[in-house]
Amino acid sequence: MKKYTMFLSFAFALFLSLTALPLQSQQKQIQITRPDFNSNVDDFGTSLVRSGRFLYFTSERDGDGQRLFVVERSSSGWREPVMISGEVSDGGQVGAATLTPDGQFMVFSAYQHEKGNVGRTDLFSARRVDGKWTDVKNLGADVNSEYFDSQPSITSDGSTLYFASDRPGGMGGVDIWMTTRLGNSWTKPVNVRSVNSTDDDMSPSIAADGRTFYFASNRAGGSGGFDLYVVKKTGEAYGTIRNMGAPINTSEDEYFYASLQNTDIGFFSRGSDISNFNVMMIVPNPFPADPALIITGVVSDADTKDPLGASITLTDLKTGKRVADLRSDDITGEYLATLNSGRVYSLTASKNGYVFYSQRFEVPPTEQGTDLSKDISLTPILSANSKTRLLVFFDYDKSDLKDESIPELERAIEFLKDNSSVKVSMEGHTDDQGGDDYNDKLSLRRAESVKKYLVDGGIDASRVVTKGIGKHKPLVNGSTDEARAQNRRVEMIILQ
Amino acid sequence: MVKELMLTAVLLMITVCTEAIASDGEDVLRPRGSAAERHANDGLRVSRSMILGIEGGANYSMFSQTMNRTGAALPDSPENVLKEGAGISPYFGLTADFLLAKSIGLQFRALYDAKNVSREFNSASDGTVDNSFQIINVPLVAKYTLDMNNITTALALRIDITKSVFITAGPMAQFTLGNVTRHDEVRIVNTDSNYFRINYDGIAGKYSSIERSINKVSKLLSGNQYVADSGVSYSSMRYGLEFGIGAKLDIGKNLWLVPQVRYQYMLTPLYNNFGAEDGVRMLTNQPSHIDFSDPKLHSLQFGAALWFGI
Repeated sequence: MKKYTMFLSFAFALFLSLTALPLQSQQKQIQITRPDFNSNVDDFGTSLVRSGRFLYFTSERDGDGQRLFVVERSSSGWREPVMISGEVSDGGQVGAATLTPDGQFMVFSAYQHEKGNVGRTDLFSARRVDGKWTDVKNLGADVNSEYFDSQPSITSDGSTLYFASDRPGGMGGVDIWMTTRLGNSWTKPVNVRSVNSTDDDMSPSIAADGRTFYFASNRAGGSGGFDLYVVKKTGEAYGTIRNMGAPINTSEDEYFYASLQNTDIGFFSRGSDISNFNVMMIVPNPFPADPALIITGVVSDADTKDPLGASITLTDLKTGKRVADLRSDDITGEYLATLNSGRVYSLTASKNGYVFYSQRFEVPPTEQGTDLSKDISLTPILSANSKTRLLVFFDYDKSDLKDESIPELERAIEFLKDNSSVKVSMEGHTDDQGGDDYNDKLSLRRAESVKKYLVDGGIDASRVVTKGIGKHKPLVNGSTDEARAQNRRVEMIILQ
Repeated sequence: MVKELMLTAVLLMITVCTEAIASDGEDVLRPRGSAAERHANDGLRVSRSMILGIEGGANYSMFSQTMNRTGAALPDSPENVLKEGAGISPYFGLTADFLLAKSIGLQFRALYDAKNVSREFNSASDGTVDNSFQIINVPLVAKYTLDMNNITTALALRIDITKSVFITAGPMAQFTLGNVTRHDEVRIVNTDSNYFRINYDGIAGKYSSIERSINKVSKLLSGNQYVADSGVSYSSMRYGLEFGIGAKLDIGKNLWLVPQVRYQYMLTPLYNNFGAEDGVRMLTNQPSHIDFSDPKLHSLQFGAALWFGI
């Protein structure tokens, strides 16, 4: 009996040592600070863009109700916040914005906006053009209701939008709703019942990984007021909802949790009836998003090296699905997107007056949590050496177009229709296997396959000539499967 | 006092109703009627760190003092008109509001603040019939007005009690500019057969009414200085407390219309205690000695301000 008791005591002590130490260590490390860009009035809501270099938030410091501000983080700290002026701010209350990670597209909330409201507080979109926010549009009656529709959060690929609304049909109070992009419109919102409660559920925030979902709720069991919760989602399925607990949740209200992707930094907002709302920074972030691959780069003019604002499309070549439609910044040419690893993508950049550029690249499964840089040079159509390598793919010894080539060929058709005076030469290439004469003919057949697709797509045959280059001009040297696959190609040369 | 409370209640109701109409309490964080909005509206979210304002309005001033008589009671003596009074006068000036916390601010105020009170009182006096010793009762109307111009400065704590409604409280000081003028007038009701034989200046004649103006000279910013004149010494600087309520209504970018009501409760007496002999009933009663004390001039200010956010 005595031995049994001693064993229990030992096991209990061991359990304590295993659990208490990490908790104690974690609590010591977490630091919650109030960044100095906060004012002595309400500052809340956080949307991080360009890897956290810019932070968009809502503030009442202007004295004209709630307005959107952006603050830049430099090596020496936070710069002075700047209000987003112009048509975005033409409303009674404007704020709670969400931006795509590249900072080129925004959805924000506004009460009594001059662009017109469907209901009380509505969701609006805006685009960044030439360094300014413009093209402000109400998301329309498909998304907005006559009730409160606010606090949007958009996925990093811009395809899904979460927001808070007190419209009928929910589970009670304010609920979190979801809509998905359908071309230039959005689908009818659906209630995210997996996370909503009969109380108020607000400030949804989907991390750039697309899996980690944060929200605030005043449901029972919290620390008082509104608490922050986190849940992991896989596809449309949500896991266990967790209250973030202390030290994040307090007797005050906590909202708007945001995780800076691939870092240990998080942000949230805290306030109460006796204190202003402040944006708070938490390091290390105890509820980080899953690691993701971030691709960045600069689009520039191949001749002048000037940065360009260009349309960028990232396509998953296995599924044929566009995973991101972006626009590089008109002033800096910078772009940014979040990708999943273990996939093969095509990256295409296009801009009026330039030959579009496409590149195929593969992200190994081990690349999560890292950044990938791909700068792009676009050649002006009128440039002496304007050509582009089409991402068309052929099997060995075949000239049949593979399905994964279709998006690129459609881009070529669109390019030729947009530039009706341009004539092109399609030059086919092969790998190093086989004789010269055979490869010359095979490469010509490949060029002819491309021409046929273009002509079938409405391009006048007289605008497209074909050549078979054979194996004489390999893109990469070597006899590996990868090198040979890259050399089996068709290049489009601008003739005039 | 009941009249003052009723007036305050009416103005308070107007203020609260104006607030209810002007604010529907929704923004991008707090939907109307939600727990979040109700929570937030426990305190006004003032959106500027400093506000400058110009304001103007009207004083409803209320004067009162204690009159203790020794000797005859003389309830209908013309002197009794001096027991109380009320009147309306303008004020205007500047306000600065510094935000201390989410729903708390500190206000500095400087006002040109005129005070005017008056009263009419139906009274009577002993009189004699010409060329006889017959004593008659002569009905009179006694009237006085008291005018003074002041600079009022105040330091008040502002506490926001809803999204737009705030209350203020704090100390104030009032400095008298120039003269305090009291104008007295006594008028005979039945002037067909009655008249005063002598006026205030001692000149014989037949007067249906007699009147005088008394200027009490005060010095601005001279401290609590009393200037003696006919037994009455007015204080040139008086202290008090002010309590207010107002509503902040958005009317433009960095611009608010602020209807407000304030009550000025003065702690410093308007003048010193003094005594006087009342001889209006000497023919039928004993002379009556009056001790005047505790003269207070409180005011209810109601007006509007334009606040500019800086």
